[in-house]
Amino acid sequence: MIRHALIADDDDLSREYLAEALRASGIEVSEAVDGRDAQRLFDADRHDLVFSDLRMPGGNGIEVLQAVKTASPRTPVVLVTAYGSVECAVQAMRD
Amino acid sequence: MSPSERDAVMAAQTEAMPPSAREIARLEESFRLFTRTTQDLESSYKRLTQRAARIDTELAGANRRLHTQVEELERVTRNQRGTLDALPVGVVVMDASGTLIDVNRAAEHMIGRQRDELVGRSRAVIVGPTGDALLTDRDTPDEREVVALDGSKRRLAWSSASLPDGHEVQVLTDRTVATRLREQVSRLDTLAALGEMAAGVAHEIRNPLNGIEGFAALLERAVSKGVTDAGLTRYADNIRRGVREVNTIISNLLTFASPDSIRSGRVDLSALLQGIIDEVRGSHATAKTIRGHFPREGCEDVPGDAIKLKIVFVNLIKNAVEAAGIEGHVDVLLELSERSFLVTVRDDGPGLAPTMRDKLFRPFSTDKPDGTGLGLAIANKLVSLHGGGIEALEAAQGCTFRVTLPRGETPR
Repeated sequence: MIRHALIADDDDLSREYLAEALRASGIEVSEAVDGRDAQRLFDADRHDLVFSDLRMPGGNGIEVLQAVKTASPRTPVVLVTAYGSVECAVQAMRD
Repeated sequence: MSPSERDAVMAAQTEAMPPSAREIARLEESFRLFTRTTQDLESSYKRLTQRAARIDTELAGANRRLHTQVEELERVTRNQRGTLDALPVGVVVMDASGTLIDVNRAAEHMIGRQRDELVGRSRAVIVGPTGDALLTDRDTPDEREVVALDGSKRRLAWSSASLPDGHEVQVLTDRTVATRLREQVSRLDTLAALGEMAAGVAHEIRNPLNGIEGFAALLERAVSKGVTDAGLTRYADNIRRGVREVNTIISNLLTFASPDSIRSGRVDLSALLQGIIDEVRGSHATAKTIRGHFPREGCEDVPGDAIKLKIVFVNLIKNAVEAAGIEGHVDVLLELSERSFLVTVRDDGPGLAPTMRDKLFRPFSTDKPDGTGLGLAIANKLVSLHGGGIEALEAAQGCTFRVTLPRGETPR
């Protein structure tokens, strides 16, 4: 049962829309604007579900994924990207 | 005894003797004279023969030496020809009047004519079918695209040197292939940059589009459920906000991609910077202090485009204010050097991430949560258009940018 979700995205509108949609489904939402913020919030609250943008300042989505999986391997993590293809997204993270 | 004394003695003797004995004596005297003369002639002939033999020997020696010298000269000439023809650069030798004396094989190839069709002609008439001078008349190095006499298109570079005897040597280099390769590399670089930029644009625009679509979906669901409360307005507001974001990105992109020209004019740089500082103080989530340090005079009449320079400094000062945060300090310093105007914008924020340093001025590079990564790219381009430069200086704390604008005439 998902009660509390964490959304990490530096783009305000995307983050707020996802938060709005989740709240409309009765889920409590925490919002982070960068990777470090997301890891700090997750360490404190151990959310049931994590959405993370792939490319953010201060720790990218892969780092968020690794931190969450280390602390709580069963927590699902959804990585979100505005890049058009997987190659593009991987390249974006390398850059 | 002289011949006349001798004759007088002989005449006296002859008169004293009887006629027959006198005749005999005369005959004997004539015979002695003949013998002496013959001996003289013989010894003269011998000397002449010896001298002729000596001259013959000397002449043969001189001939041998001359022959050796001629052979040596031919060998040197052959070697020089071979060396000249083996050179990958074209060599053209002219006399003081500009008449061609020698042309090597590479020059024949570049000019598009054989040596014997070029030697003896004036530099002024060595002109391609479309009117390109195929030899330069400049003292300084020259480089141009030309159509050669054989119709081939080439990019040639010339340099010339004067010889002590008044002759001139021109060295021709064929840059056709090198230039073509450079252009290809440049095109590939442009394509790569374009690809990177397209990916950046896609990313920047998709983010707000994602939000717009999301809020539109929420709005649609609420309306279909018959919801009429204030939440609907909020959804609509967020959609409009997203559209504004997309619009801002497109406007910035257009500024970045606008034609490479600036409007020439004069700018009061102190007033421009003070104006920006006042605006930022009034409107932005501001730093604790923003201070301007300007010289009393000398910066009222800076050549440049006021609007474009304002964009540059608004970007830099807003960046500094955001980096400094509400407890931070920003200093804007204007200085004059002999050749330039220097504007330094310094903040005491966290400084640049090491990964950002190399790509500061590349479009869509940012470490700000809400940055599009176009501000510094635009500033860099606009400063370049003014003939100036922008750089991030190493700083112990925070971040320091310096803009250098040239003094002197308005760039075009």
